[in-house]
Order: sequence, then structure tokens, then C-alpha cells
Amino acid sequence: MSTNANVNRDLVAQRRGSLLEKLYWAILLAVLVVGVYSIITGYFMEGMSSTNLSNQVPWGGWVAFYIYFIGLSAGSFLLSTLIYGFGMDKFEKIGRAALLSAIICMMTGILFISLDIGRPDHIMNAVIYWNVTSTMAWEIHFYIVYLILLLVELYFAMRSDLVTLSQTDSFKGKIAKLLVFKKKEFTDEDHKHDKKLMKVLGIIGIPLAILGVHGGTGSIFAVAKAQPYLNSALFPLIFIVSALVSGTALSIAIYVIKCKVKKEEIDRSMVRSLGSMLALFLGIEIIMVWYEFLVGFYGLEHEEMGTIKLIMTSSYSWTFWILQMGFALVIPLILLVIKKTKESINWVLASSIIVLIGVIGVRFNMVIPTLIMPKLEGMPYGHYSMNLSEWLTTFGLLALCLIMYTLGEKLLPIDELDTEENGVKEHE
Amino acid sequence: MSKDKLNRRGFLKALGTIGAVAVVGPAFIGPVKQVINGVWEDELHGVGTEYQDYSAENVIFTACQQCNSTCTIKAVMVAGSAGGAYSSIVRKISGNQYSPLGMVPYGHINYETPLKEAIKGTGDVAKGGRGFRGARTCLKGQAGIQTSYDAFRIQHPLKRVGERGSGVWKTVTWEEAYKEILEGSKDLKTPGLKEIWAYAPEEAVMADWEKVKAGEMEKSAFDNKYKDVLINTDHPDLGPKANQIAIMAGHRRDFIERLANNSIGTASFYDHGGYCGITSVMGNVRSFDSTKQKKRMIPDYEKAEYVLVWGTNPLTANRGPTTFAPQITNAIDRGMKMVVIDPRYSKTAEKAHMWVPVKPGGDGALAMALCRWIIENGRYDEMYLRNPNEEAAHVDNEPTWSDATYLVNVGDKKRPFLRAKDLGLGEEEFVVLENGNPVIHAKASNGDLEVDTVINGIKVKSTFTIFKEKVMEKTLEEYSTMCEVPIEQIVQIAKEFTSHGKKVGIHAYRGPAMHTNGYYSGRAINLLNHLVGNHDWAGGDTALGAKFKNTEGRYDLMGVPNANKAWGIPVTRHKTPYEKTTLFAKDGYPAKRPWYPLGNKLINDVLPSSAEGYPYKIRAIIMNRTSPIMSGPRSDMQEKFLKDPKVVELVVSSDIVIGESSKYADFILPDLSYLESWNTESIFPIIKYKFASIIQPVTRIVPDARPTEQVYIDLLKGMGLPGVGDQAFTDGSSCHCPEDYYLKMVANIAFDGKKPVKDADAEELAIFEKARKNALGKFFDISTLQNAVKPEEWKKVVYVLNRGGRYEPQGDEHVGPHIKYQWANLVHFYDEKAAGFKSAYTGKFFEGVPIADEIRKYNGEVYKPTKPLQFINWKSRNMGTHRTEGNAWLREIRDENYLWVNPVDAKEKGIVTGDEVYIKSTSAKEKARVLVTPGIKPGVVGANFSFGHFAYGSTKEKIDGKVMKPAERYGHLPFEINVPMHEESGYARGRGQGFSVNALADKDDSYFEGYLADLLIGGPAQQDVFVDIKKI
Amino acid sequence: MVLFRKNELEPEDYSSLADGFVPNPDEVLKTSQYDSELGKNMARDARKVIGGKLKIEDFHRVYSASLLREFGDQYASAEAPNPTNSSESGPRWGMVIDLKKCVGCDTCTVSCKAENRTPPGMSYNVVLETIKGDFPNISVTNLPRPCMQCDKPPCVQVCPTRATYKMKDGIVVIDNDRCIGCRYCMVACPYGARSYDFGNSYEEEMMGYNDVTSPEYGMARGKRKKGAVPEETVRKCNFCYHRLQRGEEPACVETCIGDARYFGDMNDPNSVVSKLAASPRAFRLKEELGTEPRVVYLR
Ligand SMILES: Nc1nc2c(c(=O)[nH]1)N[C@H]1C(S)=C(S)[C@@H](COP(=O)(O)OP(=O)(O)OC[C@H]3O[C@@H](n4cnc5c(=O)[nH]c(N)nc54)[C@H](O)[C@@H]3O)O[C@H]1N2
Ligand SMILES: Nc1nc2c(c(=O)[nH]1)N[C@H]1C(S)=C(S)[C@@H](COP(=O)(O)OP(=O)(O)OC[C@H]3O[C@@H](n4cnc5c(=O)[nH]c(N)nc54)[C@H](O)[C@@H]3O)O[C@H]1N2
Ligand code: SF4
Ligand code: SF4
Ligand code: SF4
Ligand code: SF4
Ligand code: SF4
Ligand SMILES: [Mo]
Repeated sequence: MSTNANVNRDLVAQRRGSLLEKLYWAILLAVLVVGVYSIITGYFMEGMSSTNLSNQVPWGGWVAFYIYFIGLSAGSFLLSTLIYGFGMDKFEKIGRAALLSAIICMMTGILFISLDIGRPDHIMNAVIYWNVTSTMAWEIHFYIVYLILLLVELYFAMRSDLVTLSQTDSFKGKIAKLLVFKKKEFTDEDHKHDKKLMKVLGIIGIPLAILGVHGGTGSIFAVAKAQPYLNSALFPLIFIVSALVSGTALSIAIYVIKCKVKKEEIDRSMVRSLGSMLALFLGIEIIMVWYEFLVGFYGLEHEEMGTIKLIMTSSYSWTFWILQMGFALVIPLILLVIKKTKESINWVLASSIIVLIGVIGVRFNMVIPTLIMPKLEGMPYGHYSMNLSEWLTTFGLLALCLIMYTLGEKLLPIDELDTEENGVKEHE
Repeated sequence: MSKDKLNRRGFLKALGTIGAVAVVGPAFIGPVKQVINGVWEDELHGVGTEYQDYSAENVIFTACQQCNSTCTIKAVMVAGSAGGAYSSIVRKISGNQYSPLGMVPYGHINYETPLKEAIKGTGDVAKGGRGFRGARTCLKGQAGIQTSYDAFRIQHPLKRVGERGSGVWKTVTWEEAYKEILEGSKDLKTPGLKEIWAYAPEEAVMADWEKVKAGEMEKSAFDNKYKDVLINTDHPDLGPKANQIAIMAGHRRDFIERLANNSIGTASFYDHGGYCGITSVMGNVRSFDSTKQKKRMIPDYEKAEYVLVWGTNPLTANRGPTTFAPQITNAIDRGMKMVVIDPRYSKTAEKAHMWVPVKPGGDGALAMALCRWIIENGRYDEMYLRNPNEEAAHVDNEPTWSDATYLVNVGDKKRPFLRAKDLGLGEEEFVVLENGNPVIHAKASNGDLEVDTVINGIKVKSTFTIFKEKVMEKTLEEYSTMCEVPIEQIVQIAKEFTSHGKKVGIHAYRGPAMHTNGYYSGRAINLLNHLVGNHDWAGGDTALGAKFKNTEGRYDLMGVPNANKAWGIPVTRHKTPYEKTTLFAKDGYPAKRPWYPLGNKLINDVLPSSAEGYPYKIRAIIMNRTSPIMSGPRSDMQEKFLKDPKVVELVVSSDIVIGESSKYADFILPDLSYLESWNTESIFPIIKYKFASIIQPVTRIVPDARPTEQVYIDLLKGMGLPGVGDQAFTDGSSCHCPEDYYLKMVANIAFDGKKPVKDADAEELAIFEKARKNALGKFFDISTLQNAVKPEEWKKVVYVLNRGGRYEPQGDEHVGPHIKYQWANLVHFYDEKAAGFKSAYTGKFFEGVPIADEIRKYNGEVYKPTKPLQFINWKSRNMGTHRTEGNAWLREIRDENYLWVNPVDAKEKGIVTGDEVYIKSTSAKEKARVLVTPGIKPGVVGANFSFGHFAYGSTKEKIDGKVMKPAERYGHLPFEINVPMHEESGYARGRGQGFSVNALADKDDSYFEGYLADLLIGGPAQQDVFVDIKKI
Repeated sequence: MVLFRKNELEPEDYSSLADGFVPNPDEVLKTSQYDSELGKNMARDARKVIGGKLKIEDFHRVYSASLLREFGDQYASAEAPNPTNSSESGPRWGMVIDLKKCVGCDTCTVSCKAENRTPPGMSYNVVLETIKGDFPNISVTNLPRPCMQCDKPPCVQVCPTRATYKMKDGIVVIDNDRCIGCRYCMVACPYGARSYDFGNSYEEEMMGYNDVTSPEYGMARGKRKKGAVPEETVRKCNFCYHRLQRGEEPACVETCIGDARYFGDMNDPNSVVSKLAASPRAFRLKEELGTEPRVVYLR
């Protein structure tokens, strides 16, 4: 009876699950299709005039999303290095997922910025020609190396499981077979070797990620002396810290949501420590932001003051107060320090999601207000808000990102096999 | 190591190598090189060697028509697209380096520079900064291409469908159009010109009329004889029916006026003068001897030390900024001081040492105050003023002399000058007192300045005394209150003005003039110059205006054989004293509408006069490039009457686009734009060189268009009138096309003066032909040009055309301390004519000397505005009247006219910059965007002219069933990016932004559909507009 | 901000007017991330070098270490000045704009449009108008702004592809065939001098607009065609390179209504521009950023 009932319940749940899953895919594909349509009719057929960008505000939402995703990638990767580089094994469970999300976010970020390029037909020039003084040129090259590094690292993180999987006959197994190059068994030696390699890659990756990719992306903005608001040494650091914030939040969110969807036990202690880590990062960020604005104000520099004023008092200031200050800083910080909420997985998840939304606002405020502010007295203020085409494209790319991630999860051994298949949770 | 491992490693290595080589590898070469070679420079890439250079064969010199300054320009042409209807594309416009207008301060290049050399450039950019391959134009001039290549150009003759102004048109052929214009149109129910026109010469009619008056002829016989010819046989002085054809010629004036005066014989000929400068012009003209007219008041900026810029804006308007602006900026650099008297802070005021925000219309009071201080303090040039004639003047090295000592018979109600014959001393000579004795002015050498006495029982005063008495009627305080300029400022200006000897001058134009008291104010300002006697002195007041004669010399281009000489009273009653008319005999005072004995070409009053039928009705209007609706007072009223077939039965317009007035025409005939046609327009006398410019075709854009001249030629031929066709000119030559006229004009120019110009050599002749073939393609037929002149003239004609005109060389501008081209004549304190004229309403005499008058209505009452704010207006910095709306490049600079409001008034009304307001006057309600600025006097608001289009591509028109959509705003952005003063986005909105200034003009309720106008001259009082504003 | 007197605008007034754009040099030096003492010492010794009291080699020996420390790799050559930059003959173009003479008419703006046939929304030159003061004591500054053709151009610094770089004649080029349209240079230009070609046209209102394009940087591109270069790339004032090459001053200089714009070879000490640029009235916009503009203003 009871088993029957259990089976039934499982079946129902499975069916509901697959229904949900179908819905999930349907929605994502639909959004993707709409996105692709808008990319074709907008970006490819009309070029940049399909956006609300102008000569006053030459960078907009897509750049904001680009750095948003680069930040997510950075954060996820840095988290993964804690595991693989510094052996914080208690987070191992999320290691591969973090790597995968770092890769997918990186790719999404690059996609966003690729769409922001006026002449896709000239895009190879960005690789062929290299301006040593251009942070962006360095970035482009760093991104390539970094992406390769991430892929290699993920590969080695999964290798043992890939070998195991390659023995099975499932679709997943076939993919694994492709990836392991006929390797049939995974020895301890291999394990050690890979672990060492992972450590090396992780450690090489840290400076690459921090200085190259993320600090570098921050520098793209920070070196613009034309933009006094951005032009500060603190800016790349803030960028990194807020990347850590968003990356950690992303990892928490992915982990918790995944567990919930899969109805798996949640590693509460890990989530809690991730939560505290998030709180720590938020704390650092708050200090930095404080100094950033303090120094900004103190300088009494006309354009910088103007930008700050725009950020804090214009009609878009809600993005600053609600998203940047509220969602991305104060609210999660409070949630993560109050005893009651910080203990609750759901609240930690909520904090993470709030952070993830809030950081979008942070990224927008990095890009747009400073461009709206005229560069010379007498020039007109810029105007910018994303138009429909930009939003559709953005949602299309977001859908693509989720699709890629989910596919990655589905097709690759992102969750560790032994824990999953043996049904024995290591830390239980 | 297992095989697998090796394989894997091999794979990785391979990947690494490929990656490194294919992706990263080459990218590293650049950086390395860059580090070695320096970070900023690079090997040249993206840089080519195509400079689109041009030669003389791609250049034609002509003149600009984007505003009325007619600057000389150079047009460079390139081939157009094979598919385009146009013969070429005007690649770029710049100034003509042969001409002095655009070459300040460098000076124009020598006229005899071979064309090829001039086009190549005679300067050195690296060292001197100038290539001298071209000269200067203003921004409107630069944008002129967009006027000619306007996509809204009319392509074929249009005939209206439905009511006037319906916006529905149908294309007709030229032949159909001509036929219906001449014979009448059945479906439009318009009469034909042939039916309207009738003429009889004045002598015959008036001789018969004298007979009737003398009882030698029956009135009925007279009526019978003339009823088909005269407008009204009871009032033969109104003239022939030809006068009921009103001609409004905004351009091509020389050509059309000749035919109006001598072929059609209509007294109702108009150019834009009535609403442009007539009041100012007459204020000047009446301050000088009238044998030659001195129409302008312009200082010699090149040498002046102190200048008053009075109600004009020569840095971005006036005629033309191209010459004045660099003169002024360089003069200031050199140390000249400039005072700008203007209720608003104009672009010129920005550069001034003192800005005097005078009360609009208070200019007379201010000038009188200055005169009072100067006279009271004896700061006038007494030596100068006491010279009664040329001889006496020359003794003092003065080129001019004044009437200051001349005596006026103040006992006579008309207060004329005392004449020699009145005292039995001679004939018409003036009389002065010399040491108390009356002497003929020509015989005296040192007249008594202040005279108030009785001679032979005649009460006489010197004009100086009359003026002085008038000046003293009000105290400085009273004047100061009237003009709202502080006494200290008045004193400072008066003192400075009289502290620089002859090196002071005044530049005045429309600001003080466009008021009901404009004539008097203009006169008062002139007297300031008279008081210091600065005329013809280097650095003083100028006359200039030396021109190579264009209508006489080789060909008489004025005369018409068997002419129908225009006579009678023009419909706007200018140049005619009311008291001399038969209408006065019938109606007495007050006359229904004002009469303007000193006015001229009062185009502003044509439509309301016709509507009232006073003195008669206009039956047909033929117009080109002028728009009574946009430019005349009370646009709504003008529009209402132009629309009404009962007011004007036939309206024919030659236009390049469907403009606001053309919109109400029965027929619109596509004209050639200024870059496609021949023309001459005389420029203001602003340069010290003898000068003649010519407008000639540089491209052809609308194949089926015909210039207005051609329209006149064809129509008048159809009517069988003289002056066109065969035997059109007095020498028997014919006029079948504009070239027949203009080439002769060029011949006149080429041969004028001591020595004609050189002959074009073979090279230049070849260039001439080649350039025009390149530019005009099949629209160039050299024989048409050659046949218009005599073979021996041809080479000189080419020489002039190749240079776009004729310009005296530099280096001979002065004679000693004087300017070479002088006035060298009598200047007047006293306007005898004005003193003898009366208001047609009150019958009261006007004044012979200036007064500080208030704003008055036709009936003489002081105008009591019902609205609190005075509204002034001015020329847009970036637009030329209402003919540049199609220039997107100019709209980008600023595409609407903001209402300037002082912060004090803005605060009271609760408005800030960018707000929309309603402006309400007694005539209309307009919507405007506000610019709050300290640059306008509190209590005064204002805006620039040129906006508020409701045609000209700003609204849709339907042609042959196809809708022409209005021009749309530019750019992909949904935002309103441009805010007042910050319009740098480079995106223009569609046409028709802003509001029409003339819609607001105040009513004058003392006559039918009246408006405020100068009481003597009749120019509309464009600045006496009173409004209230309300935030929307 | 200083309040401006009306009536007599003396040089001091212009200097205070310009304060909005040019700060006090000492303050700039103080805020510089670089060692200003070093700079002062170098300037002093450089004078010695010019005066023949110090050998150039010694000068380099003394300072190269400090310079490397200060400027890192941005300090390109310690040995000798870059031969391609200064010692090569040929003009190095520069522009001088006299603000006292500029009447703010925008003729430069329109002439530039007419010459370079830039599309809607793109003005290589703009004139910025600011009004200060209260009725009736007011003043207006008209600040024409072409591209400054900076000698240390931030736009060049950031361009990932070197599509934009400096020519020997001082002009900052954009190779539109290389430009990827990332608009980083627009963000980086402190003068807002760059614009993106969104592919607009005047053809709807102006017959034949698409027929001709300007051969910017000597590159003939024929008709303006949808999607063809330079659409979707970045463009800017090029000092009318093609006009210079054919012996004409830039369009805006030729036609400047106020006779306020001067042009010529800054390398030639006797050229009109060199002399004007040496005037005590001379200043450059945002000098503190170290961009070294080749457009010099006279206050
Ligand atoms: N940019 C441009 N230039 C033009 C033209 C154009 O349309 N645009 N049009 C051309 C033509 S047709 C002409 S006739 C000339 C006219 O040239 P201007 O005479 O220079 O032109 P306006 O702008 O009509 O008037 C000059 C000044 O008078 C001021 N003003 C108004 N009311 C008063 C007053 O009561 N007293 C005083 N003292 N000043 C007052 C106005 O503020 C304005 O600055 O310009 C020519 N040049
Ligand atoms: N309140 C107020 N009123 C004013 C003024 C002011 O400052 N304030 N200014 C006055 C002055 S100074 C003047 S000169 C007048 C000017 O005013 P107008 O004499 O009316 O001249 P535009 O406005 O230049 O041209 C009028 C029309 O001519 C047509 N047109 C344009 N180009 C061509 C062409 O090439 N050929 C033909 N055949 N037609 C063409 C167009 O339909 C255009 O609308 O306005 C006067 N009215
Ligand atoms: S001032 Fe008038 S005529 Fe002269 S260039 Fe400008 S628009 Fe043309
Ligand atoms: S053209 Fe000359 S005077 Fe006019 S705004 Fe430009 S720089 Fe100033
Ligand atoms: S002004 Fe701007 S675009 Fe021009 S060189 Fe300098 S940084 Fe580059
Ligand atoms: S838009 Fe073009 S020129 Fe500007 S930075 Fe990018 S690639 Fe370089
Ligand atoms: S130099 Fe040439 S490109 Fe630059 S603003 Fe002047 S006209 Fe335009
Ligand atoms: Mo006019």
C-alpha cells in the first residue's frame, strides 16, 4: 500500500516534473525564437539604429548585461577556485556547476558584447589587430584564453565521471565517450594528476580571472578619463568584489534551485557558509562603494558630481536606490546577518536572487548615467532606456544562456556521479 | 605513459599550437611592433589618395539667395547619379574669392587672376592658414544645396482642385496653365488676365478728365470712353484696370519691375520692401538730399573707433553677416568699441562693450535724449553744421554739408523751407542767415545755426533751432522714462559718441523702424550722425554703393518700346498724398484706410485693401518668392483674404515648393531655384569697392521648371504686351528667354567704367563652356547665351561670368581721410515733405523734425495694449526668412523659435525653460516653447521669425491623387533630445516646428482689418505686438 | 563660478570664463597621478639642454629611470625622441579658435556637414553656447568644438583594433574598414567629438544626398549605400584631410563668419597658428587630462 502510494506519488511528481520541464523548455525556446527574430530584424537588418543608443549614450543595456555576465562568470569561477585551487572541499559539490556557469556566463557575456558591435563583418579585426594600450584589446585576448582555461578545467573536473559515464549506453554516455578519447578507466594516478592539474589551472586562473578578465573588464571603464565617475582606481576592485557577490549568489541560487527541482537533499551547512561568504563580500563592497562616492563627492568635479546627481536623483534613480543599494547591497546584507533569516535556506536563496536582480541595476548604473552626463558644458544630456528590440534580444540571450546551462547540466556530469548514483550523500 | 595519454597530450598540444598560431600568434606581432614604433602612430591604413579635387571646369561662381544679402558664392559640381533627374550635384558651396564680400579681412584676390589659378588657390595653408580657393558664406549659404535639391520641389505646373487651399492639386502642362491663366478657367471660375487687363495712357485719360472738369466733355462720354479701361470713371486718378493686377515679386525684381512698370503698366507692383525695410529706408532717405537715395545707415567698421549698433544684428543677420561679422570681430580686436541698443541680448550684443536694453519703440526717445545732451553740452560739430554748401564744406575738408542753417517758413502751416524766391533773392534756392542777413544757401559760407526771427514778415527758424526746440521739449528724465535707459547710460553714450571725432558711426536697421513711430525714430538716429558730421569719413558713416551699371551702357534694360507706363494710385495708396485725390474730394477726413505719401511697395496692405475695395479691388495677384501670409502682419487675416476668390479672383504663384501663400494659389508654376537660374539682386551698399554680382545657373534639378521671368515673357507675349518677344528692348533686340536679358546685363557690367574688363582668353572660353556642360548637361546651350549679346561683347561677358561678377581691385578705398565712394551731398535735419503731409485720418500735419513719439493707431490715438507683455521679434540666426525650412542642416542647428522670457516674468508666470505656453495677442493664439533667459528685457518677450510653417513640406499635399507626406523627423530615437540652447544632437525634427510670429500682429481697430503700421511710411509695426502668455 | 561683468570684457574676464574649461595648472599638477616635481625638474633641465648647458644623453641618463618608474610602459622611448613623430618634415596641423571673435553662428557646423556630407545625427563640429549672469549683466561663451586631434588621444589609446591612430601630420585617423563599431572610443573621448554612423540619410528630403560621399582620409567610397562602410562605424572631424591634401584649409576655417578659426602648420614657428598658439590667451580644453589637443583656444 504504502509503497504503491509512494510509487504513485513519485509517478505523479515525475509527470508533473516533466510537465514543468516541458513548460520550461517551451518557454525558453519561445523566448529564444523571439530573441533571434529581433536580432535578425533589428541588429542584422537595421544595425545599431534598432537600439536606443545614440552619440550621447553609445553604450547601453547590452553592455550592462555583458559586464553583468562577465561578473557572474568571474564570481562563479573564483568560487570554483576556492575548491579546486585551495581545496575547500566542503564546497566541492558546487564546483563543477560553478565552472559550468562560469563558462556559460562568459559565453553569454561575449554574445551580448558581440551584438553590440556595429560591424560583425569586421569582428576578426579585434583579434587580428591588437592595440597594446587598449584594455579592450587585452580583454578580447584574455577572454579567449580564459574561456579555454575554463573549458579545460571543467573537462578535468569531470573527467573521472566522464570515463565512468562513457561506459554507459545512454545519450549522456555517448557524449562522454566522445570526450574521453577512448579512455576506458580512470586510475587513482589519473585522479591525482587531474587534481594537481586542476589546482595549477585554478591558480593560473585566479590572476587571469581577477586581473585579466574581471579587473580588466572593470578597467575598460575605469581607464576612461573622459568619464570621471568611472575613472578611479577603485572601480576595477569594486567590479571584482561585486563579481564575487553576484557569482556567489548565482552559485547558491543554482545549487538550491537545482536541489529543489530534483527534490534532493540540500547541503544546508554549505549553503549557510556560502551565505556568510556572500555577506562578507557584500560587506566589502559596501565599504568600497562608500569610499567611491565619498571620494567622488569630495572631488567636487563638475561632471562626476553631475553623474552622481543623475544616479541619485534623476528619474532613473530608482535603479540606484532600489536595485543597486537595496537589492544588491543592503537588503541581502541584512537578510544574511540577521540570525533568523541567515539560517533559513529559503531566505538565503531569496537573498541570492535579490542580489542577482540587484546587480543588473548595478551594471546599468555603471554604464549609463556617466554617458548621459554631457562631457562638455553646453552639450546636451543624453537619453537612454532600452527599447523593445533591445529587451527582446536581451531576453533571447538570457533564454539561450539558460538553455545552454541546462543542456550542460543534462549532458555532462556536472553533479558528481558517486554522490548521485550511489544515493549516498557524502556529507550526510 | 599510455598511448591514450600520448594521444590526448598530442591533441592538446595540437590545439594549443593551432590556437596560438591562428588566434593569438599574429595578434602578438602588432603589439610588439607598436611598442617599438610608438603607441599613438601606426603605419598608414585606411588612408587613401582620393581627394575629390576639382578644377575650374567643375566650378561656377554665382550668388546666394538663402537670405536677401545676395553674397557672391562659388559652387563646385560633381556628376550626379545616372538615374537622377538632375544634371549634376552641387558638391559644395563656399564664397567667391574674387569678390570682396566674403574675404574680410584678407581682401579679395585680384580680378585678373586667371581662372585656373584662382580655382587652384593662391594661398598657403601651412603657413598663412588660407588656401584662398574659396571664401566665406554664412551657415545658410552653406546649406543652400538643400534648398535646391529639396525633395518637395514642384515638378510640373499645378492647378488647384476644389477650394483654394484644399491641398489638392492636379498636374497640368505649361500650355494648359498659360491658357487658363490668360483666358480664364471654367472649372475654377477664375477670370483670365486678358479679361482683367485694360490700359490707357495717363495723359490721354487725364486730358479728357480735365475737359470733363472744365465742362468741355460730358461725364457720360468720358464714362463710355473709359469704362472698360479705368477702374472707376468717377475716380480716374485710380488709374487703369491694369492696376488691378497686383504683382508681388520677391525676387527677379529688376526683370519683373521693368515689365510691371512698362508692359503691364500696373501701379500695384510690389517687392518685399513693404514688410522688410521700407520704414527704416525712408527714415534714412528723408534725412538726406533726395536726388539720390541714401537708404542705409552703416558705419565704416574697418576704421571706426566707436559704433552704435541700433536694432540690428549684423553678426548673424542684416545684409550680410558674411561681410559684417569678420569686419566687426576684427575691429573689436583692433580696439573698436561697440554699443548694442536692442531690447534683447543678440549675438551682436554678446560682443558689445555695452548692451542697452532699450524699451522696444523707445528708440526715438533714446536718440532724442542723446541729441539733447549733445546739443546742451555743445558737443556737436558746429563748424560742420554751419557749412551751408559744398564749397564751404570743402574748406573744412568736409565731403558733406547739412541743412542745419537753412531757414524754414514756420508761419506757413505746411512749414516749408524758406526759398530764395520768397524773399525775392532768387528761385528755389534755400536761404540761410549769415551774420543775421538772409543769403542764398549756395552763396553763404558760414550760416547762423540758431535762428528764430521774422524776415519780411515771414516767421522763420533755422532747422537746427526747430530741432533743438523739439529736443528740449522733454527733459532727459522724461526721455529716460520713455526709453527705459538710465540717464547715466544715456550720458555715457552721448559723451563717448562725441569723443572720437569723425570715427564714430551707427548701424541701424529694422529694430527701431518696425514701429508706428519707426520713421521718426529712424530720423532721430540719423540726426546723431549729422550732429557729429561723420559722413564719408573713414571710420564714420558710409554711403558707398558704387556699382558697375547693369541696366544701362551697352543695352538699355529699363526702357520698353511702346511702353504702357504704369500710372494711377497703387492699391496700397503709397506715394500719394490723400489730399490730392478725387477720393479726398469725395470722402474728406478720415479716409477709410491710411494713405502713405512717403511709403512705397506696401505689400502688407494689398489683401486687406482689396478686401475693403479701398481704393479698389485687386482682381489678380501674380507672385513669386514672397509670402504675404507668413511675412505680412496678421497672417490669419492675410490668409483669409488670399483664400477668398471674392477678394482676389485669380492667384498665380511661381514657387519652387508649395509655400504658405502659394498654397492658396489657383495655379502654381514651378520656378527654378537660385542655383538653377539667372538673376540679379542688388546687395546693400556695404563695401568700398565698385561691384556687380550675377546669379547664373550652376545645375539643373527640375527639368520641367521654368523661371519666373519665362512665365512673364510667355504670359505677356500671350497678351500681346510690349517689352517681351521681338523688339522687346529699345535697341530692337528681342527677349524670348531670361538669358536675352541677363546676358545683356552682363555685357553692361563688363563694359562699364573707364575701361571694360579684359577678354576671356581661349583657355577661359574653353573652361566656361566645359564647366557649364559639366554642370548643366543638356540644359546648357551656349548659342542661347552667345546670341543674346554682340559677338564683340562675348569674350568680356565670359570673363565676367567666369568670375561671377565684377569687382574693383583692392587698394583704392580712401581719398585722404575720406572714403572714396561718398555721399558728398546735403544731409537733412528737416524733412520738408513730412512737415507738409497730413494724417489721412485726423488731417493733422506730421513733423519735419524727429520727435519722440508713442505707439499710435491710424486714428492718432495712443495705442493702449490690452496685453501685458511686449512681443518683439528678430531674424533667426540659422534661417533665412521663410525660404530655408527645407534645409535639414539648418533645422539641426535649431528647428524652432523659442519664446524668450526674462526670469522675472517667467517666475511670475511660473514657467521654466522648455515649458510650453500659449501666446495670446489680440489676433491669435500661438503655442511656443519657452527659453527663460536674462537676455531679454523684463516685460518684453520675443522670438525669432522664420518658423511656424504650415506648408513647404510640413503638411501633406495631394497631387494627382498621390499624397505627398510631410518631411519627418530624423533619427531612430524616440526621445526629444534637443532642449533649448542644447541642440547638438544633430537630429532635426520635421518641418513646421515653432510658431508664426506674424500671426500675432496687433489689430488696429480704427480701420477695416487694420494692423499697427508706421503712420507716415506704412511699414507694419512688427515690434508693436502685445501678448499674454500662459503655461499649458 | 565667477559672475561676469558686462560691458568691458577684459582678458581677465575671458580667463575666468575659460576657468570652466581650464583649471589652475598648479592644481592640475597636484592632482596628477604622476610626480609633478619630476616634471618640473625635467622642464628646468630641458631648458639647459636647449641652452647647450646639458648634453641630451646626460639628460636621458638622469631621468630615464625615474620616467620608467613613473610612466611604466607608456614611456615609450628613453633614448631619443621618436623619429617618426617630430623630426620628420611635413606639416603638423593645428587649429586655433579665437573665442573672443567667435560669434556662435554655427556656420562651421553647417559647412562641415556640407563638406563631409555627414548623415543626420552626426556633426563633427558643434558650437556650445553657455549664458551666464543676470539681466542686464550677462555674457555668453560660444565654444566651437571640432575633434581636438589630441597628441595623446584617449580614443586611440582604447581602440581595440588600432582602427583609430595618429598620423604624422597630427590628424587622428579612423580606418573605417577596420573599425568594428564598438564605440569604446566614443566613451573614451573627453570632448564628445566622435559619433557613430547609424546609417541615416537625408535622401528623403534632399535629392541626391546619397550620390556623393566625402573622401574622408583620402578614401573614395562612392555612393552612400546601406550597410556599406562607413555605416555602423565611428566617425569624427578629420581636419578635412582631403581638403588639406588639395591645398584647401578645412571647410569650417574657410567659412568662419567671425574670422575666429585659424589653421596651419604648428611645426613651423612662423606660421600664423604657431604664433597665435603662443599667445598668452591660449589654452586647451581639459588640459588636465593630458590629451594634448591640437586645437588651441584663445580666451
Ligand atoms: N540669419 C538671417 N539673416 C538675415 C535674414 C534672415 O532671415 N536670417 N534676413 C535678411 C533680411 S531680409 C533683412 S531685411 C535683414 C534684417 O536685418 P536686421 O535688421 O539685423 O534684422 P532683425 O532681426 O529684423 O532686427 C534687428 C534687431 O532689432 C531688435 N529689435 C526689435 N525691436 C527693437 C526695438 O524696438 N528697438 C531696438 N533698438 N531694437 C529692436 C531685434 O531684437 C533684433 O536683434 O537681415 C537679413 N539677414
Ligand atoms: N514680424 C515680422 N515680419 C517680417 C519680418 C520680421 O522680422 N518680423 N521680416 C520681414 C523681412 S525683413 C522680409 S525681407 C520679409 C521676407 O519675407 P518674404 O518676402 O515673404 O520672403 P521669404 O519668406 O523668403 O519667401 C516667401 C516664399 O517664397 C517662396 N520661395 C522660396 N524660394 C523660392 C524661389 O526660389 N522661387 C520662387 N518663385 N519662390 C520661392 C516660398 O514659398 C516662400 O515661402 O518678411 C518680413 N516680415
Ligand atoms: S548672408 Fe545670406 S546671402 Fe550671404 S551667404 Fe548667408 S544666406 Fe547667403
Ligand atoms: S563659424 Fe566661426 S564664428 Fe561661427 S560659430 Fe563657428 S567658429 Fe564661431
Ligand atoms: S578629441 Fe576625442 S576623438 Fe579627437 S583625438 Fe581627442 S580623444 Fe580622439
Ligand atoms: S569603434 Fe572603431 S575606432 Fe572606435 S574603438 Fe571601436 S574599433 Fe576603434
Ligand atoms: S576641420 Fe573639417 S572635419 Fe573638422 S570640423 Fe572643421 S570642417 Fe569639420
Ligand atoms: Mo528683409
